[in-house]
Amino acid sequence: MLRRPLSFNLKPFELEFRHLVETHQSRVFSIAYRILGDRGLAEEVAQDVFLALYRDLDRLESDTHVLAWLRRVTVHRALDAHRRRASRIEYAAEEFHEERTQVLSAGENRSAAQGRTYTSARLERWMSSLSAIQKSVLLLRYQEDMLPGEIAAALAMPQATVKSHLQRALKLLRSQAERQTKEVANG
Amino acid sequence: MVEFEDRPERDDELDRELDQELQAALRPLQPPSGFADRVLARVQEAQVPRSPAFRERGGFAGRMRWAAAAVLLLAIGLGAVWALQRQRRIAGERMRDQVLLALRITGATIHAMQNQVAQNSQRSEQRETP
Repeated sequence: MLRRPLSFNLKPFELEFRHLVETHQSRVFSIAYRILGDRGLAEEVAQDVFLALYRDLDRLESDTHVLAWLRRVTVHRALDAHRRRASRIEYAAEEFHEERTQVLSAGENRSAAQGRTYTSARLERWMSSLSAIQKSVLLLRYQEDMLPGEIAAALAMPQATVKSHLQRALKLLRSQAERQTKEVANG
Repeated sequence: MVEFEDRPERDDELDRELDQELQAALRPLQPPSGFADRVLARVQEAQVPRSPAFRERGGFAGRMRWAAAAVLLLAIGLGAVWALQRQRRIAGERMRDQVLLALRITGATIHAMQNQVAQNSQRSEQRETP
């Protein structure tokens, strides 16, 4: 495990830390971005997470521990950022949806060419209608491939609550998919 | 797949499909380029006040400041002691001079009184001698 050196030469430690950042940056950024839907804010949160990791590294004993720590802290920090943003009066919701729609529409056009039933971009767009906690649970389940028990531990909530969030989220996505299918069928 | 109870078979099939689609769709995204560099830069920034080189420089300057303050305090202390001793020496010399003057005056007075007594004795003896 990465250990902060006692000597004054910090370079090897920083190189190892850089490797750690490069290994986990996609995961951390994706969780933050998919909860927040804003690349700038997601990067800010992801940077904060890695800075906190740098400070806490001495307490983390294994790579598994680091991974669990990153998932937990990223979700919590992204949810905090989401709450802070939602509470700001000056926050323009339209701007957020507009940016997200542009990003997702671009992806949707690319995915449509591949002829998939539920395109990635569509799924991501439908996900924006979910609550932040539902998105978090869904991300940990499908992006991070975690089991409901692991998600419950990471988010400090009962497993039944995790399952309930998952079921509601999937139900919402399914209803969106069905609506879309009907629209396509009706022309 | 997430378990759903009492659901029609078609729903389960849709869920399985949705499960697969979600797993495929939610692949990790690449962060903006240069992300790791920016994180490392922030780490360096946060570390600057704690870096050993900086600490050493700060420590040396700090020690120099303390040494200068100690020298200044010592100089002030020695100056004060010297001034006090000088003041005491002057006061002592003045007192000694006063005592010597007083002794000289006393000596002269005693001498004058002795002469007076001696003269008086001689006069008495002359009167008594027929």
